Amino acid sequence: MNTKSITRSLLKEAGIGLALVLLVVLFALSHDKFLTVSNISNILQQISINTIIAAGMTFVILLGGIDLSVGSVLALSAVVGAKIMTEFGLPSDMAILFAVLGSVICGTLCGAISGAICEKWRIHSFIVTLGMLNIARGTALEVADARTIFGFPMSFNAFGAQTIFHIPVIFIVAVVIVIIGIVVLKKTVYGRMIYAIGNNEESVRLSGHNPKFYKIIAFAICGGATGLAAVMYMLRLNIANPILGVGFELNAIAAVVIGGTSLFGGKGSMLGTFLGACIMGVLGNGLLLIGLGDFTRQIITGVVIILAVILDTYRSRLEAKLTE
Amino acid sequence: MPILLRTENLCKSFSGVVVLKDINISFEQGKCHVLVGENGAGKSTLIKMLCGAYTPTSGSMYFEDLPYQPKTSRESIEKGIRVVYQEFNLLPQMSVAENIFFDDLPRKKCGFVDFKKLYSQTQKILEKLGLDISAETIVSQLGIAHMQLVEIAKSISRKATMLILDEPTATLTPKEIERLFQIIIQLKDQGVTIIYISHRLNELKEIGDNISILRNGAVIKNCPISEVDNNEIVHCMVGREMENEYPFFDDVKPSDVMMEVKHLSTPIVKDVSFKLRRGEILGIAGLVGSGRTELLRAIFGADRLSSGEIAINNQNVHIKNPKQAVKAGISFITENRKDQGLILDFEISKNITLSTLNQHQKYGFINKKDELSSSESYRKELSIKSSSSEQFVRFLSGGNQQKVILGKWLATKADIILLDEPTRGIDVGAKYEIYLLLWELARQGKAIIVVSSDVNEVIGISHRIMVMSNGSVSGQVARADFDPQNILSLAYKNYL
Repeated sequence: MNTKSITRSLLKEAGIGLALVLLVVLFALSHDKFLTVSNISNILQQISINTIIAAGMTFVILLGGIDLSVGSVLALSAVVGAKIMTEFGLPSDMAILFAVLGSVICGTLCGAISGAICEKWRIHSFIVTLGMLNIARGTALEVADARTIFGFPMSFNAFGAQTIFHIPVIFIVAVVIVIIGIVVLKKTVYGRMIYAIGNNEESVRLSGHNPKFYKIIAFAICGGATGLAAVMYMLRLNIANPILGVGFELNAIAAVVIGGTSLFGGKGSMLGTFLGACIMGVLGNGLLLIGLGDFTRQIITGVVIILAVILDTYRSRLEAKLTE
Repeated sequence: MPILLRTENLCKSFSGVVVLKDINISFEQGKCHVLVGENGAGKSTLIKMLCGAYTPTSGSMYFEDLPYQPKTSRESIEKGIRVVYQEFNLLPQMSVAENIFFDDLPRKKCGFVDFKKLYSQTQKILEKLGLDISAETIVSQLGIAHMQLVEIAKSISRKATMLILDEPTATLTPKEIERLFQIIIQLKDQGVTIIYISHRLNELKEIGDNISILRNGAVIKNCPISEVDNNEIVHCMVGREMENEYPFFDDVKPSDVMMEVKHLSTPIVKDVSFKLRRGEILGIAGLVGSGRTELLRAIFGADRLSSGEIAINNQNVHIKNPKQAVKAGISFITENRKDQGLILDFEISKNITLSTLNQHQKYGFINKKDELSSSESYRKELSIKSSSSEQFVRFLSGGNQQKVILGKWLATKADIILLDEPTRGIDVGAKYEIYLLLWELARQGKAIIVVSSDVNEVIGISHRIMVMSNGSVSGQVARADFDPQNILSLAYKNYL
């Protein structure tokens, strides 16, 4: 590693990290409740679900695809898990175990089906997952009979409220998922293939690989992460509802894009996605604390998303200069 | 003849590295000025400064004796300087006519495009160039050679004082090259100055008036082309004598049959059968579009077969996709490096291990050390000019990019190696290294197929030549009977 390549790799995440630190400092200075243990714990709780979904979404976007169905798939997975927990009269340990498995498998299947359709008929994932968005939502409403499901085992609800040194359990789960994501993308053959396919699928195919397989797996990962996010959501809310998760896909995509991952695929990182999700969370919480209304907050969030991408183009130009 | 454009002590450096130093060249009006030099000698950089894409670090340029400091390519276009790059700038989903007149579409009074006028104007230009394609053809349906000619048509459709052609003949067949040369002579008569970049030394004398030879960013020689011969040009370019353009080793002899292709057909290839032996270099000649690339792709499983069989070591194999081809011991070096071979934004090391990553992993985790040492050994073996294995492939020259691809396939230790235009757009020195490498592989008992549009190249390095014409094999020629005339007439056989 020479200085140039070190600078380059620092540049990749440093920009977003710096933005996050700036935001935190800004809010800390403007409101004395922001940097309290309870508020930070609150923020961590809030960003966990988006972090998990965005982690899965990163795989799909790195391939140049997109998954618009995650919000609906989250609802369907939650409903499926909730049904398993409440309707079969299983002992609570078994009920929880099967519910978690059920949610994750349900999400994985939805993702795998979307991915398989994209690859089999060569349709852009935008369209296929738009279809899946409706299918999953409809199915969720059907399965739950449009009702809220509650009455989860006590131990399940209690686990969701737990914290370790004030850190919410579901945030720890999210961090573990992010770490697994980083390792998979950076250290494994599969991760290498994701970047390679995102850059040039035909070269990968003609080098003796089967890109379709890797791509379907990526959608399955995204779905599986969404299923896990559904479990986390149930832990937080202690209910499941077929209209959960509306618009979650946009938050996840925003986190990935703010994190510096290119929508064209091939460039980006899991750490970036995590920082992107943090920025979204801190922004939402901070703006609320300093007393801005819902509408203004939405406007500012929109501006930040666009600003992040603009800044990212400058960053990559600088990076290109260093490489030249 | 008056001087149209001249450079005075032109220099260019990138982040402190000098790429061009003290370039003094005068381009005479109405003359064809040939620019030669190995890849990385600085030809492209010079061109980019002439057309305003790069700003010189120091030195100056004069256009018709007035200072000329283009800051954007628009300024150079206003002067009538037009460039046809090696990489096309066409809009693939639009028609030939729309591409040619894209900046200046004829309009009706109401502002809508006047398609009638557009097509008739285009047809006129196409006829002038002797191109028998319709103005309404969608560009993506054209072969690569036709795309090249459309690029040229585009650049001369408007006012041009200077036409810069970067390797225009790399993809053209002899007949098309002849037509191109006629066009160039026509343009010269109209007073257009031509700058012509090519690695094919034999064609330079046909159309060139003056020559500038570059090496390592400096002009080594600047003179009328009649004053130098090919040997001297090569000597100036590489700084050493090249004994023989095409190496051939008598002691490497084909042995037993490695692969047999039986009645292979695809929508384009018709009933092709041939045998390939260990230690053999089989050249495939033919016109662009005669099905050579498609044949290789079908063998490699990149396209589906309609019928036919392939046997390797006397065993029938059913290759349905490239993955199975690699397993069966086949390598395929594609014609289009950037789109079908490399991951441009990956490092050299990652590109070299792209096909063999499974050898450098345990439980799915990449052994980085192992990967680096393996790729480093290929980087050294192939002498890929680069600062380290961590350098991005995008910034390598064409010849070095090709070596990276060769490294990737050498790593698979495949027995059958298919190469499609392996030396296209590559400088003399790197070409020679690639030929030597092919011979080394043949000596190891590998079976090699080389597709090339350069008849001299196929003749120079093959044991045997198979000629394709309009999708089928029009003849197989043994080395003793090699003759350019004969091969060309075979190439045209099925079109007549």
